[in-house]
Amino acid sequence: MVTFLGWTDLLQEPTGIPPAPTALRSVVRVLLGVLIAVLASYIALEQVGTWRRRRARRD
Amino acid sequence: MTEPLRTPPTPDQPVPRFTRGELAQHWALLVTLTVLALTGLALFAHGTWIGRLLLALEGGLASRGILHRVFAVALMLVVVWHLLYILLTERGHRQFLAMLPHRRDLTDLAELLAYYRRRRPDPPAFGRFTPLQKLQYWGAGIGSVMMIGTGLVLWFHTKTMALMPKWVIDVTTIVHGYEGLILFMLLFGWHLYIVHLSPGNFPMQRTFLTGTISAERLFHEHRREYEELFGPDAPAERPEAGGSP
Repeated sequence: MVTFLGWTDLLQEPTGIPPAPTALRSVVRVLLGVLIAVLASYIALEQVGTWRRRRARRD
Repeated sequence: MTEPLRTPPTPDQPVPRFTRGELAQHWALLVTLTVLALTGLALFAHGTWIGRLLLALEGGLASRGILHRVFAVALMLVVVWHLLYILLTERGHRQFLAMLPHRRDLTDLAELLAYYRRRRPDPPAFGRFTPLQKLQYWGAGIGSVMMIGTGLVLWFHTKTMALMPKWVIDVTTIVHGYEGLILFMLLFGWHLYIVHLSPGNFPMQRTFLTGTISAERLFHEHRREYEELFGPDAPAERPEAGGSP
């Protein structure tokens, strides 16, 4: 498998060194998901809020 | 503190906001982070079609690696340039102090969200930098430093392995990859959204090109800075010289 900079193959295959920590990867993925949700919520709030204000001014 | 000017400006009057040097720093960061993101993503997502496409466009694994390292050095130079600018120039130092987070940023942000939810009639009066601008600056700044640190560990992995246990490299690989993805999202998703697509900014906010902002925008978007410069009166059209017959 091609991995980052190619070094993982060299280290892991011949010696049986334990694999990279999947728990950390899962934690980082969850944090990434939270960040995406926060940013998407902000964008939705800004767009909807501005649209409703403009509509109220028009009426 | 600067004495406010007595005459209110006209709405379209350009007000200097960034110097040429500051715009140049922004361009340098834009170019380096874009290339680093594209060359990094080629490896991070190597199993997907987009990763394969990027890898092909970058001329394969070897040239991708060279490109990534060349622009990594460029990013280091940009960071050093910025640090020297902050430390050695009065203007840079003042800009940096204005970028520091304050407790007021939290209340400003809460008031901004309340404004969007129609719980307040007006948006909060921001200073030179809004809380969201500070968040982007610190996100990009801390992110760049972290990427440089973890990138150096991976670049010189043989020497690192001689000094540190393998788990350091494992953790560094994960942090470098995902921090890169977060930085990519912050800059190419959220930052571009704010500059180009947020209300009132389409097709784009031109400050990053001209270094100036109109007095009208300054009044609405950075009220406290406006009042420091021009006093409390809103921008107003001036009557024609000589008046009408």
